[in-house]
Amino acid sequence: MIRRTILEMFSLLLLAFCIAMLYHSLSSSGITIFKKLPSAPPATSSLSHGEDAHGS
Amino acid sequence: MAVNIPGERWPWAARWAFLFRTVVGGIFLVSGLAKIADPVRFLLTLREFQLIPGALESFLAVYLPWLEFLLGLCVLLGILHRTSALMIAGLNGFFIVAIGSVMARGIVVDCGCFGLLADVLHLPDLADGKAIIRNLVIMGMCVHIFRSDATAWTLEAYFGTRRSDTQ
Repeated sequence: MIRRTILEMFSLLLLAFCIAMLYHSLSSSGITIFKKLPSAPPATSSLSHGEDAHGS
Repeated sequence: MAVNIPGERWPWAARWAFLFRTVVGGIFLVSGLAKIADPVRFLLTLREFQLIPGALESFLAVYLPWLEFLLGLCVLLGILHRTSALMIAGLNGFFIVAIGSVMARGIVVDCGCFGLLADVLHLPDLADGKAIIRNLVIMGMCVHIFRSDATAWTLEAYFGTRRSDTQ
């Protein structure tokens, strides 16, 4: 009984993991979470449009 | 096949289990969907709790809503519903610890229980004592579902796959 319950738990956890990863690898919101919202805020650049780091 | 059929042999415990399954399943299904619809909001809520390391926050923001949705669906439809109810009780225990920790530190945050729906339907969404009581009630319902062993109106009973319940 306990063994079966633990097995079912792992199955459900794994299924949810697979669905979540599949959905968020296909949707734009997943990219937003993993790429656009890093732990540290991104450094803002003072360069204007069309200007590179060397000022050309 | 000796499964619990409504009207034939449906004791009160089974009726309560069916009612609780509908309520808990519905709540988790809807709240999971609301978080899936806006994972960034859920991520920001998780950050406000200041409990989980940064790398784990992003993962949980993606994973937890889907887990809630899946468990809610399983409880509602009656597929592995006893295990799902046990897992929902565990999740609620985790939520209670998180809310208690926030309250102990004096941080006022949204609990993030209903995601987008909190704004749309004006649902209570503050991490306070009421949220803990709400989680405790859901936990109680889940414990009843797990203990009752009732299979009335479940897909498991319909397909006759739950051998231990049919004895």
